[in-house]
Amino acid sequence: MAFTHLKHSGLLFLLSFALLVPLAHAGTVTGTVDLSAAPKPQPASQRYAGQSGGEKTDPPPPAVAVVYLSSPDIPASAKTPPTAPVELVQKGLQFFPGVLPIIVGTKVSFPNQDAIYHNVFSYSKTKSFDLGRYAKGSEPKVETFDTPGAVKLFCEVHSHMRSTILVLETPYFTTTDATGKFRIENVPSGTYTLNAWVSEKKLFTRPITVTDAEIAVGEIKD
Amino acid sequence: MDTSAPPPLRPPALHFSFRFKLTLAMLGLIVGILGAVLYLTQRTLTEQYQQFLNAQFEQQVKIVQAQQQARFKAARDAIYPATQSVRVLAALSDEIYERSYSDFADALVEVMKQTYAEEMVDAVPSNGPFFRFLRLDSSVATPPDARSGSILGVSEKELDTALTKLASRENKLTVRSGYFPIQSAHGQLLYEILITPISDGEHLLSDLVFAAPVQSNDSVSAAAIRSGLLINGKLFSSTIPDTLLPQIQAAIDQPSKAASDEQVNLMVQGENLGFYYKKISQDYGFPPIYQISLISLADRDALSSSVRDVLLLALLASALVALILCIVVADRITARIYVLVEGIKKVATGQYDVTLSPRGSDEISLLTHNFNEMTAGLALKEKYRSVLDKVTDPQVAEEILQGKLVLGGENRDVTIMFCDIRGFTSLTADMPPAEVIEMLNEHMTALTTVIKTNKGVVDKFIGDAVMVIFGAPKSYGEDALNACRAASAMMAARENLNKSSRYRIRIGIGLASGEVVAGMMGSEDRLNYTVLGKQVNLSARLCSNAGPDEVVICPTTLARLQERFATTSKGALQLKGFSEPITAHLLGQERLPSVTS
Repeated sequence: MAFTHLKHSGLLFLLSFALLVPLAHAGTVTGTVDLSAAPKPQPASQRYAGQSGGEKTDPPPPAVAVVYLSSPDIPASAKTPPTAPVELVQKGLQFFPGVLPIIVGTKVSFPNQDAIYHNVFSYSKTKSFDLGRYAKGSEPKVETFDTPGAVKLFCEVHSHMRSTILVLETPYFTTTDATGKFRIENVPSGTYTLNAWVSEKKLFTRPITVTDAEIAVGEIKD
Repeated sequence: MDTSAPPPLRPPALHFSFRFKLTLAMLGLIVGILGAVLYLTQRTLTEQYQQFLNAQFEQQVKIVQAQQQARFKAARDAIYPATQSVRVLAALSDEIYERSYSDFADALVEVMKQTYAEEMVDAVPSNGPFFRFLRLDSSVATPPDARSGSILGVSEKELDTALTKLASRENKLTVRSGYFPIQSAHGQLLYEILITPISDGEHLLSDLVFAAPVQSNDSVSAAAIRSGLLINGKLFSSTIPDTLLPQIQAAIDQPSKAASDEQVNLMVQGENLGFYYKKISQDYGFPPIYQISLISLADRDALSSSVRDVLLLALLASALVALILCIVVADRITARIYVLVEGIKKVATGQYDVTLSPRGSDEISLLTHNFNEMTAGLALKEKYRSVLDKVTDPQVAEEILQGKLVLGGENRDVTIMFCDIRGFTSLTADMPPAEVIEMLNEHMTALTTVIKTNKGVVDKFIGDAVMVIFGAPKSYGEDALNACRAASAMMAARENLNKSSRYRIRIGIGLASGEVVAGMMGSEDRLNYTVLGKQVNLSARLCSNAGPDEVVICPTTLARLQERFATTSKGALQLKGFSEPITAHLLGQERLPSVTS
């Protein structure tokens, strides 16, 4: 009896060990970013409220920050962009999300979920494009972002609509919540630079060493 | 003794009559007042005109300002929607200025239909309006094409340098506007510039500079007003020549003027011009600018001199009328005074019987009334005087009036004469008293005339006798001699009178010389000038002793005669009251001085 028990548990032990090996050297980084320097979200002006279609306006997405860990040592395999396009919607006369971090090469589609026309465009040097006007239901345009940098999005029809796409060279990124709290998981151990992008003028950077454990960096502020 | 009246008072010689002075004073007053009034009128008129010119200038400034404000408002209204364009905002946000210029131009064309936009759409004239974007570092973003306008003769680099001055201080989000001079190859050009900040919510992205050249003289101005703008020492005007710039600049720079708008006169080529200027405040970044006006003062001066001519004429005419009026009025006032003057002249010559009629009830009437009282008083005094002279010896009266005789006496060496009528009692026994008095009056009148002539002072009349003093109150030299002459003359006068008179009278005279007490005797209220002493008695006794037609003199008198009269001794007389006999003499003829051959 004791002998059989031992044999089963040993196998299990070995199996689990095999599973765990790849995850042996990955850590988690948590913290909070000071969002006081973030640009204030602009609500839609009242004149839109009565426009054709009687479109209800949504409040703008809250101000958030993007936290990402950059390093020159990240292997290319880790930097594979997702195959499916990421969506940046126009809804209730607002862009959602307000900030969209993607890895270089990601495709982004811009579906119009409003009953009225939007015209998404950007003049940013990182990527300059103009999608023209299209209505809800039409095939959303897709753009591929091949260059790292910030891309500022505007809607020609609605001056208050703003969003920024951050094209990053690292897969280890996340968006904070409205209070600034963030959590990045499955980060391979190593030394990185922790970047907290609050606005195009406000970028916090600090070095960080990731280990197996969870690292709480605390508050990131001036 | 001089017994004539005191010399009459002569009125002072009149050089300018009262009437003349009064006329002159009234005339002077009237002309003076008139002149002052007319002068003030002229001055007020000129000042009013000046105020009018000042108001014209103020009006013009207001109009120019209002027009400029209207232009800026129109520009702002036109530009504003374009500055709100999302594409412009996006381009500026990413600092893609080429896109911002073209997007802005597109937006401008779509939104505006005003003149400026049209000019910009069809091949911009080189000196038309232009716009530029200022970066946050104050530099000018270079436009990609000509659609944003330019200035002929000014390179983009030069424009960059000029416009940099307009960059916002501390990136403030306020719209600014004003006049701005830009130096070109053809001289200084004046532009009106509107600076609109373009922001993304809170932050300034860029300043949009929109400029239009200033149209000269679009202000409403009267023909006589020449206006212009002075900025950075350069004059922009189509009617004011640059040659006046130094004078204008000097007038503005004078530190003594404190107020911001002043009026100074400039003489330009013989033309009198009123120079007005007002400092127009400009927004930050714009240099100070003055609005200048030159207003011709020719009209004002013409008005002033024509008014002056009219007023002078009026003054002359009024003066003439005033002169006539003054003469008439003065004449009427002074007429009554002259009546008084004539009256006084008469009084001055001794005529006290002048009576004038005081008409009316003013001061002159009062004066006339008082004049009458005065002359009446004078007449009365004259009467008193003559009465006094009759009652007292005129000499004594004079001495009394002069206040020289007071109660009391003095020792004086005199000659006393008594003269009485021989046989008076028997002569007048059966005469009625009226006749006696008539006879005595006739007698005494004759005698006192003679006595007076011979410087004698009648002391008193005692019935038929008369007592005379020679040498008091004052002496006339040879009193004794005078007394003897008087005695002889009295004898002769009586003899003469006997021929013509009803009554045959014979008199006797006694003379005595020596010391007596002479003076006022009696009481304070009632005095008599008389003499006291032995000689008085002696004279009276000698008179009693004298027979008809006899003049008996005492030894002292004889001695004083010094042989000038023939005398006969009467022997030693024993007279009552005298212990010793007195050797008396009879007075004979006066020995006339013989001519020694």
